[in-house]
Amino acid sequence: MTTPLPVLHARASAFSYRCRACNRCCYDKRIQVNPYELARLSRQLGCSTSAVIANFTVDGGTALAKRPDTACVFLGPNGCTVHASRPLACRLYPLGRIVQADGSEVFIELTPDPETKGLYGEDGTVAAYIESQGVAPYIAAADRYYAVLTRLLSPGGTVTPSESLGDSVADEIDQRVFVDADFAVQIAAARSGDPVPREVDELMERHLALIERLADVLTARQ
Amino acid sequence: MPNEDAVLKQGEPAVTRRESVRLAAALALGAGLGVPPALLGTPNMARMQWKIYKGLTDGGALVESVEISDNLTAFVMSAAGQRAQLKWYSDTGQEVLNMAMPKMYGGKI
Repeated sequence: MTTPLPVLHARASAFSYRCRACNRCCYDKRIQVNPYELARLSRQLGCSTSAVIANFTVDGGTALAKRPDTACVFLGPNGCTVHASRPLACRLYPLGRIVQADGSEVFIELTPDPETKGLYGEDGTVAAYIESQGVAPYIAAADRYYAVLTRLLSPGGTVTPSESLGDSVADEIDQRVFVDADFAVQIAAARSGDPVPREVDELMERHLALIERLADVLTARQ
Repeated sequence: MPNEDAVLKQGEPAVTRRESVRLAAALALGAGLGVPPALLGTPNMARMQWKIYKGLTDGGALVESVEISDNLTAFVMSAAGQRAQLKWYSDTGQEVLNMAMPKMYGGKI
């Protein structure tokens, strides 16, 4: 059986895509979300990341929930209701991004929905397309969180737990700490007295600092 | 300042508890970054190769080989979309993971 071939692109590759708001891409997808994306959504919705996780995600806050008809939980009658804060996966569509070992990227072109009204072409580049979607801060955030993940996956570090554990770490490590930035930073703030930042970038910095220290604890030599 | 053991449940072997927390944290963080969970649980993920084949069955012609090594971010795939096959190999050439793309995100993580 022959199946469609995946199409791979570099940033300089000729590519264009014009959304015609058919919303077909909002159905039957797993839309992954990282802590930064949860924070962006929470600030637009005027709630905490904990509330976003509880009300709009599945799998412990790692993917957006879907309605019974498989539509994204944020799809409304007139399209995406959180468009300004939509996750990277949605911004990249119809592309996916893979970062390779040497830091270079590959963009993979997803198979279109048979009923899509989106217009594909070659009168632009991948770089221009993704820039137009405002991906830069999302890619930067994903790469930084991925760096923490690689630390978690590399046990046997040289930092000893007592060196790495600061005074703002929770008494118990709850895996929610790695996903839910407000939850994590609130724990630290309760000890330090510092307020939980409302601004997304500051929240992310505080969150990353916390989970980097926890990653050191969890991967330290015994 | 709390001791690191304060984060561990009493009565459990420290290493086991720490390791389980580490893996749970990696799964939680990795899932949100689009890293296939099966990849996270595979010890030699840093030395794997991603091969994309024409067909769903073994023996399909190799279309593309992508080194993913130790960095994979923001990878998104339609659960009903791509039907190409992905295979992961260790650096010794041993196949360690084999799945069709739709299966990748089909199950609960």
